[in-house]
Amino acid sequence: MKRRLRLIAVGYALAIAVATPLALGQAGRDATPAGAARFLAVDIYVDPLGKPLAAYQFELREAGGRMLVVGLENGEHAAFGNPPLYDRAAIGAGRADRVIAASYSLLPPDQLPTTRTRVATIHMQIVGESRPDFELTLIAAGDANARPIPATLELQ
Amino acid sequence: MKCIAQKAVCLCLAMLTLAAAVWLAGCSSVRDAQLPTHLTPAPGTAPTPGTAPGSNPGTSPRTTDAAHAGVQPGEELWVIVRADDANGTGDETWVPLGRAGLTQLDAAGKPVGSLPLTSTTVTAELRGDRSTVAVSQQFVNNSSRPVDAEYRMPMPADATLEAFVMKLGERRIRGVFRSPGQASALFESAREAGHRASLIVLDSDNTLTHRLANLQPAQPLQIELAYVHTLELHDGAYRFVLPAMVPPQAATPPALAVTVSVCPGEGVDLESVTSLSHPIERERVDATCMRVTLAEPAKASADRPFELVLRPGLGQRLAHVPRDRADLSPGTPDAAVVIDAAVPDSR
Repeated sequence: MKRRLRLIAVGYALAIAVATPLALGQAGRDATPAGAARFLAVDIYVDPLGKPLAAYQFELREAGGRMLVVGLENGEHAAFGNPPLYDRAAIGAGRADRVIAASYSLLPPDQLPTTRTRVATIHMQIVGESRPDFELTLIAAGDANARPIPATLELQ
Repeated sequence: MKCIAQKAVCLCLAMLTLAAAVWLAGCSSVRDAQLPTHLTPAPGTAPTPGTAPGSNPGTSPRTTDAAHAGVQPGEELWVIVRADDANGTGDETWVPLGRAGLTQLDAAGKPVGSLPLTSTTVTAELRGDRSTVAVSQQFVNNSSRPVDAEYRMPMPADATLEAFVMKLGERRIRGVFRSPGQASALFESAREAGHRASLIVLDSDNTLTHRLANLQPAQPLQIELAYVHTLELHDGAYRFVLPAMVPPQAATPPALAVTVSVCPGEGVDLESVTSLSHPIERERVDATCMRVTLAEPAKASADRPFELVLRPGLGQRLAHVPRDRADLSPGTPDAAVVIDAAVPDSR
């Protein structure tokens, strides 16, 4: 009986030991993170490989969950002169370790960019001194007829 | 002796109560005397002195006729005439929204000076009973150092924010919606780091507080925000109201440009589209929509509210247009922050 009680006590202590950091970590993500924080802007480039680029959608996340997006800036080409739209739900719950951004243009094909162009700049706060670990994914790129086109995506 | 003292206290309390009642009654009569409207018996009707009119003079500032009002034989009709109906320069006592105010703040957040708001452009689309309003305001810092400013604007009761963009020359940065606490924390952090930043918070009482940080000297900054709300039918009319954008005592009231697209819905006729606050021009765009602009934009100022009254035909209502997105629920405290992280402290 004593042994069983001892096992239960040890198990309970282990459970608390594991759960406490998880709970604290979750609270830290939901609230504005404390500690060193800095603001920086990341440029997002799309290269439509010679095809007219009329629309794009990408997802940006920081692997450590230390990114809080504070602004989405328009691109350098007139086709993307409006700042990109973003998925409000993806930033919900008080944290923004990922952002899904998209934009489109109604300009005629001959006025759309066909080479590498900065389509957006993401303004953010990064918590901590270490180098952010970004993960950038191209969800879609399309031409003026809404057909998918091959494209590459990179950040600077 | 004790009994006399108690009686004296009771007497004093009674006198105080009486004095308070008389004072309140006096206030009430003064307030009534200052009402901007006056009542005129309609032709063919003879209101009995002392009989209260059937409608509230403060909420029906419009001349009407018996046929339109649906007056039945034996009923009493009062026509309410506003002194300012003719020239379109109304006062604001009847406007349900209060005034906006802009204050320059020092480093400690205390008010110190005049406003740097130079122009306001409003583009509204009234599609059915849904109103989508885009407000663009330009701020200029005329001093020699960066300043902060705070701006408060009353919003319609059910307004929800939809978009928030900071424009710096050709650069346009879209703001991000967050909880008020987190948005404020990010804003303060950016302000301390010297970044240009803007924060809007829509309180539960629907007052919009707009803060600007590090407004740079001689660099115009434009803020564009959009909100949606639903127009409601009162006394047979829908009222679209923009609050005064600045206090009346502003040294140089900023220019105001307003364009309202009015599309009441298929099969809905508008008997009238009028403004008691500003002279307006109406232009038919197509079979279902019209465009309303200020008749004298050069003279228009943002120091008083703008109101547009849409009166549908008898028995008609504007088409109901539900809100697009479930996450824009009215009454929810909302906030958005935008920070220019690309430009560090330039001080």
